[in-house]
Amino acid sequence: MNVVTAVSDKRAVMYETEASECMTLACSSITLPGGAMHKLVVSLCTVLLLSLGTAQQLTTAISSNPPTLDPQLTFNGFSFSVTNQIYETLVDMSADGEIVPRLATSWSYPEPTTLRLTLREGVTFHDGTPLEAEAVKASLERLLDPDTGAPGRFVVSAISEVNVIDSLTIEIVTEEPFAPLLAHLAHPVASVVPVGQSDSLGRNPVGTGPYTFVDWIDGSEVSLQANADYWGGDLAIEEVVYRIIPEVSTQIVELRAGGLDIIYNIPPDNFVSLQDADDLVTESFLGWGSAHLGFNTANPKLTDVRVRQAIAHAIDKDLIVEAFLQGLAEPAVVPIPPTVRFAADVAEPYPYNPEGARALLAEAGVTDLSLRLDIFQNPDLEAVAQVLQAMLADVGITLDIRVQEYAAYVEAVQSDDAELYGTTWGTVTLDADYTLYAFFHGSEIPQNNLSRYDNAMVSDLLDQARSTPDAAVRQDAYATLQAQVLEDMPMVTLYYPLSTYAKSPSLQGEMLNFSWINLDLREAELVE
Amino acid sequence: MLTYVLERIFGLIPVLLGVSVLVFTLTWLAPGDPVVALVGESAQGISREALEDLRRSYGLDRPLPVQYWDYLSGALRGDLGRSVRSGLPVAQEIGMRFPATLRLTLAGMAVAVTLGISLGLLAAVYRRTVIDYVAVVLALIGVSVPVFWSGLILMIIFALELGWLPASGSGSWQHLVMPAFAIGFASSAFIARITRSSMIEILRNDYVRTARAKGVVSWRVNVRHAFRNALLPVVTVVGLQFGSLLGGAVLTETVFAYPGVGRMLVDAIRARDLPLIQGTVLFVSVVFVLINLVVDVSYAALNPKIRYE
Repeated sequence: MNVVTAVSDKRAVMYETEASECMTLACSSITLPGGAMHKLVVSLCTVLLLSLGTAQQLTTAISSNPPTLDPQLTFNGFSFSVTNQIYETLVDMSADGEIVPRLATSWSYPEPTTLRLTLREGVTFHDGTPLEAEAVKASLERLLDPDTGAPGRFVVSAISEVNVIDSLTIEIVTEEPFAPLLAHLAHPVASVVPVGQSDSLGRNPVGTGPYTFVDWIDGSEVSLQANADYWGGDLAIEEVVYRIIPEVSTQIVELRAGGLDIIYNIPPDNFVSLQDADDLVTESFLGWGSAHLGFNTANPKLTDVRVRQAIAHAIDKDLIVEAFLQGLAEPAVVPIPPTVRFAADVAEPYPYNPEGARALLAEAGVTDLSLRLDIFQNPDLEAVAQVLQAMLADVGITLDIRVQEYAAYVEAVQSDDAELYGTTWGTVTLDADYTLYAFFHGSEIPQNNLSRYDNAMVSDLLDQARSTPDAAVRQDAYATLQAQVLEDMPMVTLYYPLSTYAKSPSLQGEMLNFSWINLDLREAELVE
Repeated sequence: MLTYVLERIFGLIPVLLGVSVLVFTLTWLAPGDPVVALVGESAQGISREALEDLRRSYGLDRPLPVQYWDYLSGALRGDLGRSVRSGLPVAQEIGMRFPATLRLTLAGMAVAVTLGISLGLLAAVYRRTVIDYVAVVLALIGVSVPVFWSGLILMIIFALELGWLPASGSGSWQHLVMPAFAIGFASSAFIARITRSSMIEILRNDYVRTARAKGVVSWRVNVRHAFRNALLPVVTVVGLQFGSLLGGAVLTETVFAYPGVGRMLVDAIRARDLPLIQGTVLFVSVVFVLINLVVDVSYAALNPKIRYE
């Protein structure tokens, strides 16, 4: 039954009256002789009663065909946005970034290297199989097996073994104590999948989540249906359709024409024009993203910290945010946004000051500095790179921008002659470790530590913060190391982009925290 | 004739070999690590070891000639391999997308041929009159206006303002109308220009003058005597347009969110999903060559002077 949401409620009202009249008619006709008439009325009533259910259908759009709907075999946001409705993780992230129960109801650390989780009772996969400890173990082991070829295995690679204690208890053991483990288990790649069906999950996903898979018309749409046996209770929205619409302008036309109920991840320019529409609701919120200008500190041109500090002083972050991102970002100081656990809250040590920048460069004895900035294809990065070019020109630095596709960019910035690099990043676990360890630990040079930042104290603090579950100790370590990094200036964090979405006012109760891939419809409904 | 057709079909073999070598080399010459491209930019933070494990599991650690040979021997047995990103057989991926592409191409060509030939005929018959100029300008607009603009304008008028048609997607004939017009209009421009010049050429011939001198009615001369003979170059252009639409309606598919082969190929190229790129390009090449063959054979039907021996 494909009822367009915009009219479905009106229609339902109509059906309701017709159906009740029909019921009366049918009831009275039961006593009547003459079977044919009776049959007709009853079958007519069945049809009407079926449509009485106000099938609430939500239609949304993603801009690319998901490569697969097996969450363990991909690291693609379009896949995750859909699999997040179908599958569930052991733990979840609340709106304020806390770890909260999902398939696991409680957990404890019997030992620093052992996490014991109690599973929720009465949860079944969509095929009816009960969710038990064995299934969770098998699912995690599939993800960890190198032969599975899971691109997201690195998220859980700290795990060395998974043990079943009883049918509803498992223990996850790590080689070393790994404090952010729970945060990593909340990542969509760690979704619990029924391993017995793992060969077909990509096209016929089966999970424990609020929505069950109905159909996937490749390149066109994925449709889902409310899981009647969902452990979390009844769902108001019965059908969810993910349409695949690559063009933002097409998504906007569809939203305005009523063909879509919600669109997200809208570029700033388009979002601003949607804000003026009376018939739509727009929202923007701080997510887990950040944007950076990094320095290859091992490059002779950039080894002098004064040169890097001069560049930091030359950048007007407020102007970038207001003029080029339409205010849809927050100027940044530390590499992780305030939504991330243990993000330091410090004042900008390098306020916009071209005079000071020129003075620092003179002090360092640098004249006629010419630098290459590598970025990958991304509209925001490309716009920001041009602004940076103008700002640096103002202090006498020539910036040569090189835009490449992502794989070529990675190769370029990992090579020794890299100079400046621009990148966007997501702290997808919302734990400081995910980003700070990758960016600044000596062992991550040059894979993720593209700045070749090698400060023994910082590496030690990162190891220390990773290995203790004590939040106070972690807090201290991250505060100290973020201050140190700011001083050493291996990268300027430019801004934290806001996530955006626009929806029809009839959609209420939806939750969209930190990123567009996290649309949560469990409490949502479509009201007139 | 049969020998000719068979020869042409056997001629496909070197073409396909060439295409496969070209695609394989081009994909490998592209800068950057193919594993990084496959995993995508969202997998930031991945470790070096994890990347190497993936390289092994995707089979991308084998020497290039070995990879090519494995691919080729598979393809010869009819096995195009599996898409790395989706894990599905390439043939199945193409099978899911090709019907939509074929529908859009046929509908688009119907628009293009009707519009193109009518405009071309009118322009030629009413040469150097207002009708001619209007037709030429329309054709010019058709070639010049990019579909991401015209598509959006169509959408705003017919979906948003008038509400007559669905703005995007696929599934019913209504969904086909706007994309078919968008690509049909662009292709009609080429057809119109060829029809016009070919007609003008023919209308200059002696036999046309003779026919007119004999008092044959004007439309009859234009349609029966001239147009039939003017069709030959038009058929060539129609064939070429048909072929290019089958593989290349990427912009139209993108604007109208239409699930065709073109968009699939672009996604595959972005992610460097080599088996999928190879398979799709090979498939489109075969179709292209076959369409050209049909075009060549239809010459003989249109003009009995042409014979293939």
